[in-house]
Amino acid sequence: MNDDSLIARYRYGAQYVGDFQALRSDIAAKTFIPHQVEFQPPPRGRKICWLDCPYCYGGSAHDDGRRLSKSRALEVMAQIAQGGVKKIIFAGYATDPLNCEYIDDLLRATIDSGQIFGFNTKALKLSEAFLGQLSRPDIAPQSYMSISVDAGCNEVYNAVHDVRGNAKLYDRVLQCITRAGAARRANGNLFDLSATYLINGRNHDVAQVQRFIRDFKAAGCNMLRFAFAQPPRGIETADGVVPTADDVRLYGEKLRPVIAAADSAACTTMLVDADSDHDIYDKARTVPCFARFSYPTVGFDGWLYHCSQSSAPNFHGMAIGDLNSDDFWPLLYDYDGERLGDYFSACGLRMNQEGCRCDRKEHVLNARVIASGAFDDLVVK
Amino acid sequence: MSEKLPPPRIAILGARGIGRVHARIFQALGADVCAVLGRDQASAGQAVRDLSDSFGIAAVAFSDLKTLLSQPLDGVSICTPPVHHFEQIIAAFDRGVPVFCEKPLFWNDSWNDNWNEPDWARKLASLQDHSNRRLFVNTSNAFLIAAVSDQLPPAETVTQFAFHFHTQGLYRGRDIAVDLLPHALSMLLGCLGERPLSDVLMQVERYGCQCRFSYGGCNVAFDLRQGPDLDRSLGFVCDDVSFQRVQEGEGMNYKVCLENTVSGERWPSQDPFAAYIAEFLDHCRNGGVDRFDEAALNMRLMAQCLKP
Ligand SMILES: C[S@@+](CC[C@H](N)C(=O)[O-])C[C@H]1O[C@@H](n2cnc3c(N)ncnc32)[C@H](O)[C@@H]1O
Ligand code: SF4
Ligand code: SF4
Repeated sequence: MNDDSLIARYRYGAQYVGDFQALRSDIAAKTFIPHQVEFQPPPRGRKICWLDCPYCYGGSAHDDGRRLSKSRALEVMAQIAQGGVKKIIFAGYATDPLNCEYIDDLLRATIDSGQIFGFNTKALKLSEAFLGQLSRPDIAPQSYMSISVDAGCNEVYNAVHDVRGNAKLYDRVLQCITRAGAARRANGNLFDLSATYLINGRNHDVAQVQRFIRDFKAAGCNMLRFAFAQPPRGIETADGVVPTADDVRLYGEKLRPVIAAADSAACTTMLVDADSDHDIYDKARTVPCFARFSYPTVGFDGWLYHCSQSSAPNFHGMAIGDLNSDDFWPLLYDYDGERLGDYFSACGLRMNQEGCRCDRKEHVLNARVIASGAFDDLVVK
Repeated sequence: MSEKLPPPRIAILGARGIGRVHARIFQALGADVCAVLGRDQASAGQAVRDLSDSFGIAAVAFSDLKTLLSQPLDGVSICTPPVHHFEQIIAAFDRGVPVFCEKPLFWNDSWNDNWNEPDWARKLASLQDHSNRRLFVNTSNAFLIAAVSDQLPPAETVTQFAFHFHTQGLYRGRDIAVDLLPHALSMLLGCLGERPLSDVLMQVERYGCQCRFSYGGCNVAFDLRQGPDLDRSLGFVCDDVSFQRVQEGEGMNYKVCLENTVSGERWPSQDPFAAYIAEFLDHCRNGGVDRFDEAALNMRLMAQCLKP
C-alpha cells in the first residue's frame, strides 16, 4: 500500500522545509543541512545526454567539456554524507544519471552511508552491478526510482523523444524496469518504483496511456504519475511538444478519468497539474530563491549549483562554486550570514541576469518560504 | 546578423529622490536598472517596491555597497547625499564600474563652516588619478545652451552674464548653493568657456543664495533659490539676450524648450537629463573619453565661490 507521503511527494508537495523560522536562524548561523542533495553524474562520451528530448528543460545547457571525476565524486559524496544529508537524488538537467560510467559506485556509497536515494532517469540501460545494488537489503526507506517514459509503445516513444528510426527503446525501458521491479520484489519492496508520463500533443491518445499503465503496472511499478511538460528555458519547441494552457485543460479532461480508473492499492495512478494548482504556467522563476538551503545540486562538471535547473556551465555566474577545487560544506556556507538581505538580493540579481527557470518543485518551495513570512524583513515581495 | 547586445546593467545608489528620476530615465533609454542601494534593507526595499509599482522596474535591494559592487554591473548612478559621493565613486572605480554621479561631484557639509582645502584637493586628485576613472557628473543643463548657441553673442564680447534657478528643493542657506551652483557654473562654462574667476561676493539667506563674481572681465550674477512656494524657473541673460526654460506637455511626454523672453520665440532642446544619461550609457558600452575634466573644472569654480 502506498502511504500519503509518497503521494504528496509526487504531487510536488514534499515538505522540503518544515519550520521556516528555524530555517531562517539556521541560514543565518550556517547550521542548516539541506533536505537533499541532487547529484547529476557526468555522462560517458562527448554528448551530454543519450537522448535529445525536444521538451527537455536542459535543452539550452552548455557543455565546456569538464566532467567530475569518479574519485572526486566519491570524496564529495562522503563529505555530504558526513555532514548529515539524508537523501541523494541522482538526476540530470541535460544528462541522465544512468548514462554515467560510475553510477553503481555512487549508488553503493549512498546505500552504504544509510542515505535515501532517488533516481530520475530514462533507464535506457541498467547494469547488473546496478541491479545488484537495488537488491540490497539495507536500502533506506523512502528510496525511489522514477523512470520517465512518456509513451505506451515504441513508435510513440520515438516520436515523443525525437528518436529517428525504428529503435525499440520503449521495449528496452520496459525490460529494464521489469528487472528493477524484480529486484524490488526480491528485497521486499524497499524502494518505490514509479514511471512518469509527460502528456503532450504526441502522446495524449487514450489507448496509448492505457497501454503505458498496463505495461508498467505489470513491470512492478507502484506509482504512475502523469504531468504536463513545462516550457523549457531558452529554446523554441515545435508544435505539440509543450502543451498550451488550453491543451492542458483538454488533455486533462480526457485523461483524468482514464488515469483515475487505473488507480489501485498496489499502484497509485495520478495526474498532477501543478501549473494550474500553483499558477506558475510560463513563469520563469520565483525569487528570493531558497534552493541552496534545501536541494543544492552537484552538476556534471563538478560545480555546486543552487538547484537542478541551473546546473550547467552556462550558470557559473550564479553558481555556488567549484567542487573540483573546494569542498562541499565550505562552499555551501560561503555567504554573509549577517547580511542575508543583501545575500538574497545578490542571488536574485544574478538569477535574473542568467535567466534560470524554476521547475515546479522549485517554484512551490520558494513560494512557500516567501509566504511563510519568516523572511519578510529581508526580502522585497 | 549582428546579435542584439544585452541592455547595460545599472545600479542606482539612493533611489528615493532624484534617484527615482534617474531610474526612470535609464529604463526609458533601454538600460536594465537591476539594483538599488539604500541606507538599510528596509529603505532599499521600499525604493525597489516603488520602482516596480511606478515604472515596472525589476531591481533588487542592497544595503551594503561592497556587496552591490561585486555584482556584474555596467554602470552605477550615484544619487546619495554629496557627502557620500567621493567614497562611493572610488569604490565603484576600484571595481572598474563607470559612474554617473549627481552633482556636486562631492562635498562635505563641514566645509561650509570649515573650509578644508587640502582635503578637497586630495579628493579631487585621487579621482583624477584613478586608473579606472570613468566619470560623468550630472550637470546636464549645459545641454540647454546647445539649443540656442547660434542666438548668443560671441563669448569674448559678453560683459554681463546672469543665471537664475528657483526650485522647490528642500535645501536651505548655503546648501542651496552647494546644490545649484554646479548647474549655474555649467551654464556659464557652456556660454563663455573657462576663464579666471575672482572677486566673489556670496550672500546667503534661508531660501536663497546670491553669488556675484568677475569672470575674466565679465560680471556674473547667480540667483539660486529653493523654497516651498517658489515656481520652478530657470533662465539666463547674456548681455542683452535672455532665455528661460519652458516645458511643453506633462509627465513622461514633456518637451523642454528655451524661450526668448523678449520675442517669445522657442527653441526645442533635447531633454538635457536624458541626453546626458544617453551619453553615459554609450560610454558604458563603448568606452571613450569620460567627463572628468568638465566635472573637475566645475568643482574648482564651485570651491572658489564657496570657500570663505
Ligand atoms: C531533465 S530530466 C533528467 C533526468 C533524465 N535524463 C530523465 O529524462 O528522466 C528530469 C525529469 O524532468 C522531466 N522534464 C524534462 N523536461 C521537462 C519539461 N520541459 N517539463 C516538465 N518536465 C520535464 C523529464 O521527463 C524527467 O522526468
Ligand atoms: S529529458 Fe532527460 S533524457 Fe531527455 S534529453 Fe533531457 S536529460 Fe536527456
Ligand atoms: S531555477 Fe529557480 S530554484 Fe533554481 S536557482 Fe533559479 S530561482 Fe532558484
